[in-house]
Amino acid sequence: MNGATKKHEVANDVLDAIDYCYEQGWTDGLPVVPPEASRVEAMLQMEGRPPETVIAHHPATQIDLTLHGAAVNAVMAGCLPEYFPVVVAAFEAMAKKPFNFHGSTASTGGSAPLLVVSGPIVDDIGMNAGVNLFGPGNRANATIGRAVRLIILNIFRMTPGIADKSTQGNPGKYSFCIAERADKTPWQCLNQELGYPAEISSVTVFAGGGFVNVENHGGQTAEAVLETIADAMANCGCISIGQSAVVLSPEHAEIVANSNFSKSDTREFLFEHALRSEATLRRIGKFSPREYALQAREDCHRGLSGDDILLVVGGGDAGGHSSFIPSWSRTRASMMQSEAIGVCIDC
Amino acid sequence: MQLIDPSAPSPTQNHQLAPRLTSLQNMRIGLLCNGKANARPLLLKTAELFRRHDQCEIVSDMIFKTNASAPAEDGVIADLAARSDFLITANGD
Repeated sequence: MNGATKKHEVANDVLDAIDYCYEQGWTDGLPVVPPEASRVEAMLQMEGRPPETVIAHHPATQIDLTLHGAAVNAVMAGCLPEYFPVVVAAFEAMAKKPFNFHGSTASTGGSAPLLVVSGPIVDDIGMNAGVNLFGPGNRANATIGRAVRLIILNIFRMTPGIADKSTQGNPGKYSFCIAERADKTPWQCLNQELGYPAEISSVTVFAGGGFVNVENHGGQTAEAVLETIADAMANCGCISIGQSAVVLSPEHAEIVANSNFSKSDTREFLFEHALRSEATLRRIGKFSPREYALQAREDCHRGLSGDDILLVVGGGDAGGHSSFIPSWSRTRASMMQSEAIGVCIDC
Repeated sequence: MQLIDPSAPSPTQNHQLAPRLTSLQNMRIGLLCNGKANARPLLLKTAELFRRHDQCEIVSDMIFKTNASAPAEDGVIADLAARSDFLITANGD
């Protein structure tokens, strides 16, 4: 750490240090791990680049995120050092222009970056890809997602009510990080689908507007399961030409695959069936002539094609519960991005 | 106990405001629409007030951003600046 790093001297009492972090406005509302210097150093050891390396730049505020800044907030989130490469890769992905980091964070739309981690690192760092996938209980999932939020708050100053104007927000703003369940994926895993070798892990960032549980315990065909999911995707509150994330439960994935649906078939079916009529959109005030012309379809579909659907498998073995996460924005203002974890593919 | 500050320093900004117009009389108005609902009529009505009060001329083609929450595409601002004396745009949702 360089001499310009600002330091705070506090009493050598952890509880007092936790209170101090609250007083400084450094938290997400929950207690944080005090960012003690040796912990930050340990976090930075997981990165080979200098601490002052800029990994993301905020276009509106012109603030830079350095590895050092990311490390401090990762400590506060409760991350172990081995989680740090995921946090770094996530922000390198979010820094890519099509993700629209500022807009998705500041918007009344209330999205949160959903991180989907795929590849060997899932097991290497003990992430949860199974039961309670989106819920609490796993340190890696919880703290990686939380580090993202703390960085957004502390580094980029996207303070709720000031720079973050989200009308209602969403619970994912605390932490929104999952792992792909490779052992139950009947198709190619996401990291390989993205073009990385099997041994290279990836993180995909998706500006997620919320979480929709999609339940179907009776459908025994791909069509039955996917029609249910497509209907959720096309609900009047979510229908737009934006992207979608669909996380199939292992039960649903098995049904779909047993019907000989490929991953591509699954996406195409979802796209073709996630639609509302022009009349419905006009009636509810959501019809856009420009978007309708862009789609050039009889009805208004969610997204522009099956390629707009991020499709992974995750969750516990039992339960006909899949999920749909709508993208932020009523249009295509944020596009999902991916990055390899811990390696520089383009170097 | 020594804690490391989790914030980042404020960046050095080198922005300068454009010189203030001494008069609005007969100025040319460029319009940059963010593409959201009602932005176009709002901009047109606002520009009309300047046209009536200050005899401003409204540049005929309103430019529409393709992404309301991202900066205008490269070259758009420069193009509008070359053809107008001041720009009206809208922030908001």
